[in-house]
Amino acid sequence: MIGVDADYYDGRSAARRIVRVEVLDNGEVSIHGDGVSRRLDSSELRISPRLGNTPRYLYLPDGARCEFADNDALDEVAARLGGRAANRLVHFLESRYATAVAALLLTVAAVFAAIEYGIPVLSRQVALSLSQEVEASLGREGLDALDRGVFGPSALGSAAQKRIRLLFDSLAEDAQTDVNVRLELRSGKRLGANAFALPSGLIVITDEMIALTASDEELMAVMAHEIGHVKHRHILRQILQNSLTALLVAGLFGDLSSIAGLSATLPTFLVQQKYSRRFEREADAYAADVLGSRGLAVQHLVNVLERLAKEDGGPEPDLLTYLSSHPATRERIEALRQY
Amino acid sequence: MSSIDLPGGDGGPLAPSFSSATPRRLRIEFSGTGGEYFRIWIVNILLSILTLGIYSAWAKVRNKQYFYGSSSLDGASFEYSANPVSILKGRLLVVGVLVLYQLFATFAPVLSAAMALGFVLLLPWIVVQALSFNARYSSHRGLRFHFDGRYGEAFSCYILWTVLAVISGGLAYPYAVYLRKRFILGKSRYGSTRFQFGAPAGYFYAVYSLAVVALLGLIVVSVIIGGGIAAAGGMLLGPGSDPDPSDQRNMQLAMLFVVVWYLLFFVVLIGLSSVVQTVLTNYIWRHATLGDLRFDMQMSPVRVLWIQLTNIVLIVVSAGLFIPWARVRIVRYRLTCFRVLAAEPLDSFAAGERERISATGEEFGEALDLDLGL
Repeated sequence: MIGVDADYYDGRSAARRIVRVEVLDNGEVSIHGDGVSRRLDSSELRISPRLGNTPRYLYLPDGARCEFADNDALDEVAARLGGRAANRLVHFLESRYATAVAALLLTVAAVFAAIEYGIPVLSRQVALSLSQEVEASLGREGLDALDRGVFGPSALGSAAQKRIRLLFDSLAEDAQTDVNVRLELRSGKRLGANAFALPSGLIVITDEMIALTASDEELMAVMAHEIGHVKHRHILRQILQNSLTALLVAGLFGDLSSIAGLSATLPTFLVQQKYSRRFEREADAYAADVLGSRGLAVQHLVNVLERLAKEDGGPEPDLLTYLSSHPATRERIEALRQY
Repeated sequence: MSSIDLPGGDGGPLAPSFSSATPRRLRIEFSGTGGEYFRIWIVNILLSILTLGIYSAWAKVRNKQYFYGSSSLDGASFEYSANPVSILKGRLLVVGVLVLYQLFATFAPVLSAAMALGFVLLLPWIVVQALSFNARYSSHRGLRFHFDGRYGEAFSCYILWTVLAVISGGLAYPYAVYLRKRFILGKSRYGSTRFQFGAPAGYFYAVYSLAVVALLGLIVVSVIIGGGIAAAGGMLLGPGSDPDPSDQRNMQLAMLFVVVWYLLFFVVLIGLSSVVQTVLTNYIWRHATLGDLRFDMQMSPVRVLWIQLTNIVLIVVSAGLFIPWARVRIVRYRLTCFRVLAAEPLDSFAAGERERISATGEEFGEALDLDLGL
């Protein structure tokens, strides 16, 4: 027979009674003392799992409970009553520094694997399985908003526009995307030299960007880069990846008070920028392939990148690379030279 | 931190003695430590990742149980007994709705706007659901807490008064906050005994007025200094000026200063809201009662702010590893400042109606037993 002292509460009032809980040799449990005298079969009882060194409870079927402070003594009782093996395993893992450090290392590895492979691969699968028509509705509205806020109509003459569209159409035809890739020309105004892809295959190139290119080949390099974004479904994948990242970070750092929760926005941002840089490299690679298949030098894209960097004002400090949505120009150029 | 008890303050050892009429000042002992919680925290994160998030519901229960179980009042600990399956169901529902909303926002903005409106109407229900779930599964000395707030009241203080606060240009805002706090505390029960919060809203107005004055002062100072920096950095050069490289460097430098200044201002704003929260929390507990019990809360706003800011810095510097210590730190400080003033023993509280029902075996509707508090 083994026993342990406990506080007994009947579940109907807050009155405390000091009792002794004993496991009898026939498997029954006796609770007695301070006006309480009960005898129950162990199958009717449930013991809360051990958690650190917090007090544990023995639940009786009628809502009464015993609270125990002495966890080690209760462990013996619990062993007689037979707890769930899973609960004992979790406590085993939680109660040792060795397992905690192992868990930490495994967590770091798992988070790294999720960011590096899990989330991108999953998002790619989902994006490719969705019909591209799903994306189609948004592009138009996104451009309307930009037209109201930032852009003006293109100042290029109709002859120049026609020539640019011819270049674009031949590239778009080669791309063989599911969706119709279309070109929109705008005056960039404050945005300056810029080119980007919207969902549904809309590609916007500003007059300033066209002015920045020194030849048709360079302009085609820019167009091919943007078509690469469409071809690889980057916008949908970006939405999916950013959502999954936010979910992962919330899971890791969640349950924080609102102030400390702010510190979780930084890792989310860093991971999202990392994904954005990866998409830029993919689009660069696509552009390099297109240029190669037409017998054009990758140098055309390199030239545009160098000129853009010069316009933005000198090389960026290395540390800022991690905050940036695009890889450092130097790195992009080095990667392009591999083709 | 026994120095929190102000010498000569009411009820302290130096106060004039009312002999037996002087209530006992009971503190909540907190026995949790960062080292112990770290091990629980990291193992639960790993298990959550390995089960693709499923275990996170069990992890939430264990995290909460650790803090409840480590807190004891008058020799009895607090107990959190929620069923993780209910939390899992709630989380799946929330994630499902968020995914749906994200998809709508991307592909059908009109539908997402309708969904946002629906969310506004649902918000009071979610608030009530989360508060009552948390209360229902919190207990002390074998008695559960309860929350009896209803949708209508929640709609009034969370939606209606928020709208009124906006319409009145912020004048009604302190009253809206006051109503929310009164709603949360005044609709809570311990067993069958209701918490009462009878203080008027005047103090809320005083606190928010001071906060607004402080904020306006800070805005003026920041505009003066920020403008000075911008001028020094060449931001005010005319648009036609020659963009030679050294000007561009200056411009970048000025931009950097503006960004730093903006961040600093943001930190001050958060700090101010933290101070307001702390001061109001103190006030609310000092004016709350539960049957014959009274409460005291003596948090120092500066100290809370210091703990919160150093927590953020240490969490960032340690890449998140400090989180368990940070949580233990802030909870320990809050509990250190809290007192329950009891003239009688705590034995006399009785269970509420529902508990008597469930004690006879009639469990109430499991279907809506969802935890929606994220």
